[in-house]
Amino acid sequence: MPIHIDMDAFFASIEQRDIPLYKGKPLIVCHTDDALSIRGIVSTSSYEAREYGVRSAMSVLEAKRLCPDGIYVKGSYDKYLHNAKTIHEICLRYSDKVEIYSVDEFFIDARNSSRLFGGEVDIGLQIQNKIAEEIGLPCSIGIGPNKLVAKMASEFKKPRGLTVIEEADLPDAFAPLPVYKLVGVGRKMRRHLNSMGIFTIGDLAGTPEDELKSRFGIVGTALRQASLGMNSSTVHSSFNLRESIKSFGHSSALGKGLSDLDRLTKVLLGLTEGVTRRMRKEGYAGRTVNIRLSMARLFTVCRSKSMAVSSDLTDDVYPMAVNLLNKESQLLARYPVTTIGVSVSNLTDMEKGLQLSVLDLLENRAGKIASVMDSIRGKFGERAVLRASLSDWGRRYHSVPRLEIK
Amino acid sequence: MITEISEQIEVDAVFSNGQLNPVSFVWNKRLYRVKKVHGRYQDFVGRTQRLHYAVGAGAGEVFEISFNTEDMTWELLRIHNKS
Repeated sequence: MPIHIDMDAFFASIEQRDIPLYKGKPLIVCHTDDALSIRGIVSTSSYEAREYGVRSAMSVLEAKRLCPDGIYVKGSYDKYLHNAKTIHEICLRYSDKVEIYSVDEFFIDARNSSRLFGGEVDIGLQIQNKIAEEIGLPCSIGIGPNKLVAKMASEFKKPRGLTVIEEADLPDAFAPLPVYKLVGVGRKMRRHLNSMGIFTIGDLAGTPEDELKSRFGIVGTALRQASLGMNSSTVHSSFNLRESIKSFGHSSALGKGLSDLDRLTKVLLGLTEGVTRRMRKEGYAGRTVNIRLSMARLFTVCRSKSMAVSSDLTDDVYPMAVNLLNKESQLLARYPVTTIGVSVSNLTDMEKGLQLSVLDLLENRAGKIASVMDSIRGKFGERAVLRASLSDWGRRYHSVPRLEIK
Repeated sequence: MITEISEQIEVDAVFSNGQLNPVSFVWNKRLYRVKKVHGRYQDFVGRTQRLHYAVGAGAGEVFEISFNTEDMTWELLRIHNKS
């Protein structure tokens, strides 16, 4: 049975370990250029902060309203990655089949190592103890007949829990849970399901498949199977964190909001620069450009469009993102944008080769400029060179490439 | 409370178990002995590698210090204390 390791409030736990003064306090890790800025987004929060209603992806402004006495720190993503690598190494001591699902989640198939370390429960407990002993971080373990059930099981007892769900426990184990607890059900899908009178996973399991299929297409079938705890995916060994990368994205919270299209396009440029810089550093190109707009904190608009060929250049991604933003001009006139994000998905690993367009072969000026800018940034730091159109904006509304990756 | 410092400091450090470990440092003409290294990681600014430490020293304070491997200097980044 797959074992799912889910780190408990990962970023916040690391900060509480490093700064023991923050243990037992409401700690909020922010994605922002300045920990005191209200324009950032909450990356994660400690369990103490969650009691105040602070949640991931909430704006810092909103978090400060809910928890004014919380401790707000700027996230150190290199630090979190360093810890994730150590956790991966610990998991590999128990099995060669370890899948990095995200920076704070790992799946382990330990069937071949049960003679050495005992059954899944023993191995889960040993890993939980080793992570606590060696790097002082808490995690919860879920064990189930498949990855979906194991992942959901790890949510049952948090923090420092271990939950086993057997095949015989299904589908009853999940039935009383609210439907949004099901993997793949976000806010939008939750609203759709609620409108159909589906509030629990049990309600979903009891809904005829045809009804779900006619409303959601193939997703409806997948949802119903998930509600019954059915899943056929297997644990894929990841050799490094790189293999878990599915998209590159940057977002920026805009305080009370911004409606001016000119200003928003500049923010978008800053964010796109950050995204494509990271893609080039990591050796990825992508085809699908996505923008995400939170409108007056009331609702979120997500738009996507695919390019003809994959790219890692701002000159290709940015016009596409602006095009998607322009299509929402009517909405912008009515609601201010409180958070804006851009991401590139549908990735191609450049190490495995990339299809070039004819134009790339004739003259690739944008690629050459990006390469020179990357060299300068690689030597002198990310702020060493900026696009002129961003220079007068300082740090106010956009993020320039921030992560230094080696 | 977090106090941003960003000042160059003098640090005594030892190499042990394949790691560089700070032992004591001087800041504001006062000697601080490192009681515990709570956490460590590394990052890069351009080609420069920096080693970061969160160390317990003084009266319950935690100091974030970093070592710049390019110019071999230590910096006190910030101090975390109760007040």
